[in-house]
Amino acid sequence: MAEVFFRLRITFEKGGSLRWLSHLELARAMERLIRRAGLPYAVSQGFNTHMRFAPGPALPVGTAGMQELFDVWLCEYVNLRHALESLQGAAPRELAISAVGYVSPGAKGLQATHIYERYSVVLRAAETNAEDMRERLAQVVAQGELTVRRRSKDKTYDLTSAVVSPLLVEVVADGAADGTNIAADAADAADCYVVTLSLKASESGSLRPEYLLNAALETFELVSVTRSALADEPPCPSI
Amino acid sequence: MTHETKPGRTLWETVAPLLARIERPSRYSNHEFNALYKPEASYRAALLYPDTYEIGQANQAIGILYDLINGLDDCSCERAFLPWVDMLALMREQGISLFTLESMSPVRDLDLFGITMPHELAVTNILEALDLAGIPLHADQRDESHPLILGGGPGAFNPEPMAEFFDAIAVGEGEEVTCEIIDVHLRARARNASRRELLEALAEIPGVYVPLLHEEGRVITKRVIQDFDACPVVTAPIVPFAEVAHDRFVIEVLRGCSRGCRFCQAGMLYRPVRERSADTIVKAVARGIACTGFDEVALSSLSTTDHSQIEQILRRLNHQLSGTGVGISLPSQRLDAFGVDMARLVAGEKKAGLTFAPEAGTQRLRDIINKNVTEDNLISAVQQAFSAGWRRCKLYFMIGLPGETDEDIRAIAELVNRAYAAAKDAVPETKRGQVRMSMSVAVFVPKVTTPFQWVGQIARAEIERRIAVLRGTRLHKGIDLKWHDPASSLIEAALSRAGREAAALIEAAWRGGARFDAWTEQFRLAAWEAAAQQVGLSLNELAEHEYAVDEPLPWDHIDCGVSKEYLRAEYERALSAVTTPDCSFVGCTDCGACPTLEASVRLGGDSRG
Ligand code: SF4
Repeated sequence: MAEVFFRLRITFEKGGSLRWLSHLELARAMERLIRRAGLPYAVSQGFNTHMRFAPGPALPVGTAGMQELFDVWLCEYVNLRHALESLQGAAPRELAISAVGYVSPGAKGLQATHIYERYSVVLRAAETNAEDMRERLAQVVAQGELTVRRRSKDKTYDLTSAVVSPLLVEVVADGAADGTNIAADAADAADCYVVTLSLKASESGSLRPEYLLNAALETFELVSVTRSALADEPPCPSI
Repeated sequence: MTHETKPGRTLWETVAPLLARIERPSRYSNHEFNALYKPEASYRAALLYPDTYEIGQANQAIGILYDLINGLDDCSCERAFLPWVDMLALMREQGISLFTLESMSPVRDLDLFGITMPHELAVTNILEALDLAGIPLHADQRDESHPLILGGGPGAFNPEPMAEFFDAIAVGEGEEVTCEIIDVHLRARARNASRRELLEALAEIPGVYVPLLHEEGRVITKRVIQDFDACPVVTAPIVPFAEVAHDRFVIEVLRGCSRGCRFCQAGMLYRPVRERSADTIVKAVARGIACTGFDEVALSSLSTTDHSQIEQILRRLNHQLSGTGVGISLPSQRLDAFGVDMARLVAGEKKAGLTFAPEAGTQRLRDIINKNVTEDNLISAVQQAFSAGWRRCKLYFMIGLPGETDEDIRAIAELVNRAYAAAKDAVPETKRGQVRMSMSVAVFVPKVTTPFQWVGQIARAEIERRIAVLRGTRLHKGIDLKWHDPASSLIEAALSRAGREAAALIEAAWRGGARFDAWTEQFRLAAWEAAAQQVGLSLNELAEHEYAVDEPLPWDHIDCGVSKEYLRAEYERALSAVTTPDCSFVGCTDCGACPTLEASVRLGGDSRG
């Protein structure tokens, strides 16, 4: 008889100092968090038995996330409210759990479906203004391609497919940022901007918002990069 | 507050941008599960393990004291580690002083700064930490504005090389004495005592060594927990995000080891043997896994498979953890069939690798060092392990042991070849290609409070000659030979039995850039050689120094319980290759630890001897 599993999708935040966790460290922390929460997780069969889980799309070290996703397979049905409360009780503030829900156990993996990423970037820059910054960014995007040198290797990104929303640039007033928790890092709001945009992840390596900024601006201080949402469909044009 | 930050920014806001420029930023990110925060406490302590986060966070003693101090009324305890060289450089450049992880407070603003003295290769890191914290290196340069600098750990048993850098050093097990020290400190603070008055009061506490006030003839006897089974287990230790050295739930199942290997310092330092009972262990593991979420539990001790109830413990844990994906590990391997049986009980289907430590190649030399295993023990353990499904095995040896001849060295190779052949024979023909055997060889470092404390390390040229003897032997192609760097063994030997004169050497080496000496890629013998020359000492002479058995020793004022007479008798038995049995099996052999420390051997929670 085939075993029945329940696939729980956890929505959580990766914030504060924990945005410095690597993808691997974060996955391990989530695994431990689930065990601490006392959920009836399923265990893989075979030589090296371990919890059955699947992390969402990787977030670079240093990038925060407001609506990160993580799937875990349970071997018993758990009331969602109970699951949420147990997870919340086991999580530090910097990995706050915001929602849980069941998805079909056989559904495609998060990394394949949730390829639309919304980003907010907070930065400080002098001798520019929101309009100027937006224009410079738009010029970079208009070039259609961007080549970035990382670890002494060049990589070219196709911006026409990767940038899926218009760019929004706002001046942050009074350190309020954009309502996310990133404001904490932007204590003094002078010359502080928030750039918002949506990107589409690609299997061959995803574009990072910093790359666009590096290409558009000569000098700026990056305050924080936050992935504010992950979605399985492109943003509607009104954003 | 004395943060050296830009006005209006917290220390975190100054540090966060640096994290984008360094390796492994999660070393500094804090907020792990079970980290404790007591911002309201009026007495604030920091504990530092003088190495990086991933080495230090694995340290059990720090975890125990962290839990304990945070459990005291109105007291908080935070952690500090030495930032890795990339972060160190940035902090120096930006004038950021050593800070604690939990509240990101500068360490020098706290009341107590406790530092582990783990081994000789960490001494320069201790100076680096003090200096980074902005605290004067020398105890006699500190005043009321500085935290109390407290040392402890294995290094306390020969404190002299580091004595002038510490205000006080706790000798032995820290669970009780740490609370007493804090209590005395609080009282001294309440009556506005001067630093000197504080030190005087600390010197009154049994087990506390105050180097500045030490008087000839005073002896500091190590502290020991008598009822170890009743000593609370830390079931909610901090769960690191970064991958650390022992990334699992660790429970200390027994303390001490009285097998009596004559080269082994730990075997003398932690006597008598005291076990936690099977019930305590099984219960604590259930709680520990629930509180931490770890997927592995390690039963730790110097000789876990010697626990009188080990079989029961493993069976009960196997039962309790079955179906949860949580594994059990036994860090130390007993070299006999029983050891392999126990390993088999926990390994299930995953048989990573086994480690055995025969230490010497011939029975005569193993008798000299009191390593009570025979060649047959090794061969049958290997046979059993490989026929049970293991494919990898690591063997530990030492060269330069007292009484060693070239024949003993060549015998190491013969022994390993035989073990390798036995491993191959025990494996089905089609699987023989998977058999891996490695041997790891270190140069013997004589340590204080062992029967070999009087002997010197063999001379450097002789070490090289003996290494060549081993290299000249014929090893099977499948055997991988690894060396523990002989140059760092020289520093270990130069410092392990030295007196107060070594302080200048350590300080000069640190000023010359030595730090992270335990990290092969950071270790620089040249910095130590230059330092030795500068202060008029010779590393070789220090390492090779031979003490007469009747002359006073620099560590005579520290009493670990095992008497000097016993060590001397053991030394003499060693010279005539006579072995001594384990007192926890055959009864007391009069080492002195139990009467001196008013403790006794306790097995499975019962008292004996
Ligand atoms: S005093 Fe006797 S029983 Fe106690 S540790 Fe020493 S040898 Fe063992």
